Amino acid sequence: MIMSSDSISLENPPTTDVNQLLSDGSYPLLPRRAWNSHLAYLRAIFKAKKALDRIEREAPVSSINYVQDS
Amino acid sequence: MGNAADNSEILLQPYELLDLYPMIARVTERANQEGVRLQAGNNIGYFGPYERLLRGGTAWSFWQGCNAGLATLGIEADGAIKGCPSLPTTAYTGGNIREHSLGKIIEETTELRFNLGADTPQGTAHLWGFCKTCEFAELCRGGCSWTAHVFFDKRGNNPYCHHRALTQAKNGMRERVFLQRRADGNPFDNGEFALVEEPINTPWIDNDPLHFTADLIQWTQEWEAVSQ
Repeated sequence: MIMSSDSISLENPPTTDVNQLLSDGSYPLLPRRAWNSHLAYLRAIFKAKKALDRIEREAPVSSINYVQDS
Repeated sequence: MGNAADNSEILLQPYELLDLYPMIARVTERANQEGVRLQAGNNIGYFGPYERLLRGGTAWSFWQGCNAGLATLGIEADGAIKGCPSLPTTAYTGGNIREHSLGKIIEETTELRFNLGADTPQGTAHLWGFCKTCEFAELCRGGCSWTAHVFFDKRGNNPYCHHRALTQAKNGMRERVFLQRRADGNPFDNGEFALVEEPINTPWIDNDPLHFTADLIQWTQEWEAVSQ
């Protein structure tokens, strides 16, 4: 198993931006996005966040307090 | 998948995740208190009540799909290029660095591009079984590709998922796997397992001395004192 880079917080994006241009004006091959549409990606993560809020509310887990970052 | 394919009796069963994840969560909370940053591996998860705790502890830190070929690459000792070092060689090698440029392999081979197009029908076309029906399907896309593939010889259905185990339990069901085909013994190969879905109160299989339950966890006296 490799260590995860899959779940980086929105507040802590990868240090290499997928939109960062190289000196010759091209984009690097990697990293690259799974999503073609950023809007579709945002919809998916908001949906997941909302579902996780519900799952944690309904689960018998009381001691976890998240930083409610924006 | 190495030793686990050759000694499948040591594998955790999906149902055992129900007792495993509270333990991991407790260790994580303790690590956080002690100033130790815990980083979940790709086969940890997904979308259970501890998901965000295990992935950084913020409201937005949760699994967002396999990163193979997106932010991860693997290279084997002979130069074979894969989207992730863990992935099986046969199904996921895009090419050999001795024969093709890395750019060509990344851009042009399907083995390195299978995680692209998450928001297209192709993004979830590989899903099957429970994962196909899951409310997190579009974002999760079957969890860790390696984990799913080494059990069923294809990705897209990953029983090692806390959300899934909890959902099954809520419906009075549980899942376990058993070996159907042994691995050939080559590097990065895999066997094949069958998945059994059964009522949660079915007697546990005989002769499983490694059956994991919460009451078998040996917390130190200090940890026991904290929990009281």
